[in-house]
Amino acid sequence: MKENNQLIWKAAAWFFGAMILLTLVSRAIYQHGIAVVSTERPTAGAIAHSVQAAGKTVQNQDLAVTTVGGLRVGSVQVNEGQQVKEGDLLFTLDLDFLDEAILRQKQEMKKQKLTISDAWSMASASQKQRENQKAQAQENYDSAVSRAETMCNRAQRDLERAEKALEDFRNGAQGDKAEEQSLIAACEDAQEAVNTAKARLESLNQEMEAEIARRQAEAEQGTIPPVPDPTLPPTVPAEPETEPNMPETIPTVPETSPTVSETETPTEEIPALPSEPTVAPEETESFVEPLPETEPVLLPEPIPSKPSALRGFFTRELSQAEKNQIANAVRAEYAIRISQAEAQVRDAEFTYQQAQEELADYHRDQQSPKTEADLIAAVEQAQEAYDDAVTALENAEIAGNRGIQSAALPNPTGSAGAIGQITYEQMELDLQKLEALREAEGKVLAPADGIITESHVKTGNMTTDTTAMLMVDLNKGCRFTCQITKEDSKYIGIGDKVTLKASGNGKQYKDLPVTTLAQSKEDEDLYDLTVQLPPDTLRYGASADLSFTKKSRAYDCCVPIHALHMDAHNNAYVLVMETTDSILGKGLTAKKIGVKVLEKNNMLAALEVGSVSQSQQLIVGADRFVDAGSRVRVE
Amino acid sequence: MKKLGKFTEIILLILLALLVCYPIWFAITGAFSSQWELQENLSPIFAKTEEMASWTLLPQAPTFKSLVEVLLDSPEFYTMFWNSVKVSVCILLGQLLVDVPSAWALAQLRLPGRKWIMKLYVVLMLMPFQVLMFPQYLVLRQFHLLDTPGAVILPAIFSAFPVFLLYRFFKAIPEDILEAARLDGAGEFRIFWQIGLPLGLPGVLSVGILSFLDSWNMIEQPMTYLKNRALWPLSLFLPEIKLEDMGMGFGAALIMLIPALLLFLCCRKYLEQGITLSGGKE
Repeated sequence: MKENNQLIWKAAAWFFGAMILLTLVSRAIYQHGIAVVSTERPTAGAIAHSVQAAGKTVQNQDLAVTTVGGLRVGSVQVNEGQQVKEGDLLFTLDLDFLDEAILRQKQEMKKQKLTISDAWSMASASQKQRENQKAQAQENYDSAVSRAETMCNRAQRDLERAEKALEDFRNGAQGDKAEEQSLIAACEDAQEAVNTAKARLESLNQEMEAEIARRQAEAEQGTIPPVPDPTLPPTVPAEPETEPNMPETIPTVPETSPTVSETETPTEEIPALPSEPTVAPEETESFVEPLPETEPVLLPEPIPSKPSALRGFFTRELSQAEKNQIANAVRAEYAIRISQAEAQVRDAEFTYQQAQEELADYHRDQQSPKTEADLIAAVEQAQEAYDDAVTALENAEIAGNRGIQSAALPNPTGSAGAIGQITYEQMELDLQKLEALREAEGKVLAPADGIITESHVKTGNMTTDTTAMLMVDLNKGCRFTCQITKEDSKYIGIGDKVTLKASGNGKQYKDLPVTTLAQSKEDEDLYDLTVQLPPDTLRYGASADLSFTKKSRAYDCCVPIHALHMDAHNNAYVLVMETTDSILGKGLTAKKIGVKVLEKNNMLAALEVGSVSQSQQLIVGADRFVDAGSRVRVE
Repeated sequence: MKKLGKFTEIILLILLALLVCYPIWFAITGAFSSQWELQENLSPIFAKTEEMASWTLLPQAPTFKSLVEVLLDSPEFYTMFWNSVKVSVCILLGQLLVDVPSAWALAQLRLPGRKWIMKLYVVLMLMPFQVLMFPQYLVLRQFHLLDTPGAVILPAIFSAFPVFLLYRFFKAIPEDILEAARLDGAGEFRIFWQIGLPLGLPGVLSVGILSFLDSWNMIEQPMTYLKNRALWPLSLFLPEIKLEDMGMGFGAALIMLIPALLLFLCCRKYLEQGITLSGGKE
């Protein structure tokens, strides 16, 4: 029993001894698990926003050095990055190649001049052709209408004659001698008209041949230039369709009368046809009046400003082509009149043929005995023929009108001559540039003080029409450019005075205003900032650091930025130390307090007043993760 | 027939013993059960559903994790453990210092009105804590003893039950022995110290064991008079336990059982005597 008690007492001793030891171990473990924190108290103050950025100076303006393209570079005297002064030699062009280029340009200009002449000739001929078409259409109209009217008259006469024959048959009468005589007279008149028209046509042909011969003779003597000089403005029409060189007194051809001359048979001797008006003497006089010799129809006058230069072309022998050209021009002038005369011959022959047919019909009717029924049928047939003739007359008028309207449509404007003239002027400008380069002995000089940034010319290569060299114009000054973050852009604006510190010598340039601030096109999160540099500050291409500090208003509660935390809902909070009673006694624990951040920078955060008092210790750092309720101790 | 009755009696006692020991087994198996097993078995208690909590005789996945967590990772447990030790020892010493002389005086000295005092003790002893709590609270507050260890220790030192129990022991000492000592010239203190205490030692030990167990397990007094959690005894550790810390609770209960068990094993004879005497009449 006594041994048992000793064992129990020994066990109790071991138990309490173990409890003492485990108490110490447990305490040690517990203390090891407590976060050691550093604390600070909230302070009053302002939030300073500092903007720092590195950048470099760039030029305000570039200068492009250009020259005529397609020339060979003889030598290049400068390199990229080299500083030059105004008038310094940049590169030299190959003079032999330049001379060749000038010669080629002159030859091209001559070719262009000839091309322009051809273009204007073509335009003039086209205009003449169009007028001929209009006259032809009018003539066709007149001819068709006249023919239809004749048919209509004849049908009407046949109808009257059939009705009269029927009436005579019913009255017992036999024929009418007066009608036969009138038909014979009409037949003779038509024969006379045919002869007259043929004589007129022959006269016109002879007159045209004489005119061709006369023009060719004058051309050989140099009175008329074969082609106009396109380089002289007065000779080039501004609007080709108006044809300023056409003679204004071109006689108009009477539409419904045959053409007659002063030497031909007087009008009173020509048997008058019922449907053809008499031609007035003055109209025939103006019609046969020859064209003025000093006013060529197609060719412009010689240029008074350069008579000596052009006269050399006119004194030579005319070629066969030039003769043909003159002949064609004269034929074109007479084409309308000749075609009108030919139409009159055809009309007269047609009228004569109809008169003979009418006379033959009359004789046939008189010889054959007819019953009343035959006569009635003949009247009806004549009535139908008359109706058809009236219809044909109407159709002829409609078709003729359409032809006239179609011929009166304006031709598309031919601008080849004007375009050629513009091209010629451009070539002339190019020639002037080439000649200017030749005068400068092919040397291309720097237009201003600057630094060569790009060179696109190499010795032996050909020049292009684009920039030969690009240089920085030092006379226009430099500006500092850098990029800042979107967050920094909130605190700096246009006009704010910044400080630039040169990277090389560390020299500072203060109070330089921000010139521009805009969002970068490459990156939306960056902003491009520029500062216009005054003279004698940073040189072109220098690197520098921009600094700017903006202070906010005074806040009553500012805490270190490390004391500020964000929870899962992106709400800001701080952890403060709080003394709590626990089983282990009084201890420090972290307490979470939600706050509203008014402003912050990378050092401090201004909190809304009332969220944290200045007596509270803010946990700003810890040797391990600390959350609300964590036991802490101050280091 | 007599043998059959004896066998039935043994069986009945074994069943009763198992019934009494089952909570201890409950604490032991709980201390070695894993946390997930405890949560699965005991969650109906905390979920307040009609489903009944279950328990297995042996843990499905035995582990020392709960015990290790209590012993190494819970400094609060040790704080409360040593608080309990401190309170229990102080009460024990205080009772030895105050209650033993008081009981001797009431039992052996011829003081006027001692019978009435003894009756008053009996009345006070019969009163439950709920009756005495408010007057005690007022007195402790008047003496500024609230939220101090004295608020728990002093009322226990001056409690009526130890005096009543010791009174019985001291009263049982034969009067002749004491009279002989007086005739030999011994003083009253010497009689108490050299005759009374040795003869009443079983009673003193019995009172000590009972007082220790009472103070080791006290819950109401510290919960009422102590607001400072740092002064709480180990008996208040378990009410703080949640379902998530149930393993720690069983581990703490197991450890809490050890001192009382050791003390009981050591002084079981005196405890039985004390309980026997406390059941007697004056």
